Amino acid sequence: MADPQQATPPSIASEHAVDRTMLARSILRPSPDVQGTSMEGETVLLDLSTGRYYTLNRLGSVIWEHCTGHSTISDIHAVLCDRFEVASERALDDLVALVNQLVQEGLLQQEGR
Amino acid sequence: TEKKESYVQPALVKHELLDI
Repeated sequence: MADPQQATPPSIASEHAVDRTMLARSILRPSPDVQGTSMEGETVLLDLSTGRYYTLNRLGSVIWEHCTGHSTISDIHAVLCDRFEVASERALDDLVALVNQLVQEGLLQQEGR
Repeated sequence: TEKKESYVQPALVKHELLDI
C-alpha cells in the first residue's frame, strides 16, 4: 500500500520559480484560501479551495511565520542567518526552494514591492 | 557569544485530500 504522505517534488515549473534578481522586492503572503495553525513548532496548512492539507517542519514554520505580506525573501533570509547556525548560501538555496514549492502548491503568493 | 539554534532543511509535506 502506498504511503499517503508524499514530499512535494523538487522539480518546479519555471512559471512558479522565484526570480533570484527580485529577492529584495518579492513580498510573500499566504493565499486567501489557506489557513495555518502552529503546533509545537510545526505548522499545519489547510487549503480550503482544494481540501488538501500540508505540514511544515520547524524551519518551514519559521519561514511561513514571516510570510505575512510585509517581508521580502531577502528579509526572511536575514532572519534565518541571524537565528540559525547555517551558511548564508545554503539558507538562501533552501529558502528559495521552499518558497517555490509553496507557490507551486498555491499556498503562497508573491508580489513585487 | 550568542548561541544560534540548530538548522534543519525546511520541508513541506503534502498529505492526501481530506478522499479520507
